[in-house]
Amino acid sequence: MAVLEEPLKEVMKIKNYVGGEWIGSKGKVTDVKNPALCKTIAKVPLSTRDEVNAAVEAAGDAFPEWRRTPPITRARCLFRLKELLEGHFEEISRIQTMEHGKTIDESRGETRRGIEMVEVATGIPSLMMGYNLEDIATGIDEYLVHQPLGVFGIIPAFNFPFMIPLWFAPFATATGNCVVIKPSPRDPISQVKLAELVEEAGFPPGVWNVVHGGAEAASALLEHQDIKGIAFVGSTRVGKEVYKKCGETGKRAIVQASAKNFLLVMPDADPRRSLPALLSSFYGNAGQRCLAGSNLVIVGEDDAFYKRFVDGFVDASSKLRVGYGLDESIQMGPMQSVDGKERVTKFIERGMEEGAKLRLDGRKPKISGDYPPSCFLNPTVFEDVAPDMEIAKEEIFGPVANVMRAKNLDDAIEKVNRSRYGNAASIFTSSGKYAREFKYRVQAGNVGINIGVAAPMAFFPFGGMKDSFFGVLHGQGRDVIRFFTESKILIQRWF
Amino acid sequence: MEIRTLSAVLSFAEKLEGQGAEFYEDLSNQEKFSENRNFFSDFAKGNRKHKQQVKRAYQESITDAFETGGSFNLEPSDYLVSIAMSGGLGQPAIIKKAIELEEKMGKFYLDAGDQSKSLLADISRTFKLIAKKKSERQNKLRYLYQENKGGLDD
Repeated sequence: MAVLEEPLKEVMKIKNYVGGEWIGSKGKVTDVKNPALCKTIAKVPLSTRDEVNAAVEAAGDAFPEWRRTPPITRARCLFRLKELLEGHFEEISRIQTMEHGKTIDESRGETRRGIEMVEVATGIPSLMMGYNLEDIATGIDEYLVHQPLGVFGIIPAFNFPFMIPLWFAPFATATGNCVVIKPSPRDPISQVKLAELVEEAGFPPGVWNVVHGGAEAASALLEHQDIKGIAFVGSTRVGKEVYKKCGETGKRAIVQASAKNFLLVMPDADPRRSLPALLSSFYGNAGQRCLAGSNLVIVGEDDAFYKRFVDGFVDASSKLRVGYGLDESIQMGPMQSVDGKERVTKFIERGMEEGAKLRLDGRKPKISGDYPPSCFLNPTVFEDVAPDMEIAKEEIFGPVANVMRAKNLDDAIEKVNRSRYGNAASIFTSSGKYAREFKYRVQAGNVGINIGVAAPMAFFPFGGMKDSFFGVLHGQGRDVIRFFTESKILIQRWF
Repeated sequence: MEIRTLSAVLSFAEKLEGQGAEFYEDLSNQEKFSENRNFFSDFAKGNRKHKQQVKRAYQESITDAFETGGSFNLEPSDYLVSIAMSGGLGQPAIIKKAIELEEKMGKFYLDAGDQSKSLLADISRTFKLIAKKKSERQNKLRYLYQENKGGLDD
């Protein structure tokens, strides 16, 4: 099957977008590589602290006028952005495949999710409304209004380079705030494209800023006194530091962190319909997602069911076609980086040392097409995984499935709840009783019933518990409107 | 190579509809079908509309969470029809070819609709709607075939 045309024809030299201008950086430059081809497709700067400060200043300058802009006018900017995104849907999707490695279906899905955030944020005149009550005491009325705070920093992860900033930025700007986004330096190109469209949509200069960089730029945002809050998506290790720093500097924080998600298969699950959902969960985005399945728990003591189900899962996993995501026949792309592949490979070795049975070894990948193997892995399946093994406890962030058994639902839920993480969990069953029990007791922020990837839509908050989330209010939905606004109370009486 | 991904399904549907539009446009320009010019040009328009419908359903309902990677197993050769025609073919033979084209396309949409119904309900529904249209078109073509069979060479 033919490879779709690449939208990036030459190596792109990336600039920051600050105060409505495209500005070169004095920082060091690093390569952005297409992981399937191992080819440099862009040069991205690691901006300096001064450059981040300049972006925060530009955002701060834009804030007074932007907050006075009527919400319906702000919403019109977002309507125009939505139309522009629809018009560039395919280009943006293909860029994501080039910079990240995911399949074109996955990239288009990511683009759609991103656009949905913009769509929901266009409803800001209704979403931002406060409430009031007359006569809280005789002749005295009380009002609540939601007001923007100022400048917010957004520090997204590499795994959804286009979508993650959109979990926050449309809502932040719709509510009257200004943003400084620091994309991952591994795959920043779709954020450049997004900023170009933001500019074309007529957002006033300084409302939406993009500063590229690494740890230094992130620290500059975290430490800046004029930043009112941070939205961060990344590992628990870094997330804890971000949360701590936000506490020290008095910032609001949404910190979405690591995960170790369990998928339970009950003996009454429909194998034919469950299997595609499981494959998508474990291997979608090459397992590099915080909602990915990681531990597959087959529930019950029926050995025949267990064998049949696991054999089917292993067989289907082994048949997934791995290669360049712009080839439409490909079902799983490469890891985003060589480092990522090495990390996953070490986990596979660790699993073997711990005594898990390697049913399917993805370390020597079979690749469809003539591509360098540097970032590629094939699906990997471990069996006989014990809950206390490292591979069962720690986030692998790659296409590795750990199969374990549980005697019954109680035993399975106990295994799930023992995890330090609580991002997502799913059950596959045809029993309402099992499903109800599971969703009631399981300690996870996003719960799926016969759903492999329990990804909340834009109008619901993105859940997360325990070491998978730090903060009070979540991204997306009504939570994020609250996050980006202060609740101001007015009590009035007229003599 | 079999079709396994939703993206490949979309591209194949676009290919089929493009081929169909080209076929009917060609017929609408042929002198021997001068009485059926509008009939075939409407069919060509229908193909272009179906192509848009499929693309819209795909782009508006795909999300990163759905089972796009492992749901399909379709063999393209089951749905392809050669539309190359020798100049000497009579009207009934050409209409038979059109019926075959519609049958294969209808089967494609039914099969793709069945295989996409787990979570992609909008896509599945669109495919089934188009399959129904293809079935209606087959009936119209069969009627036309009956009308032409009597007086023309096969």
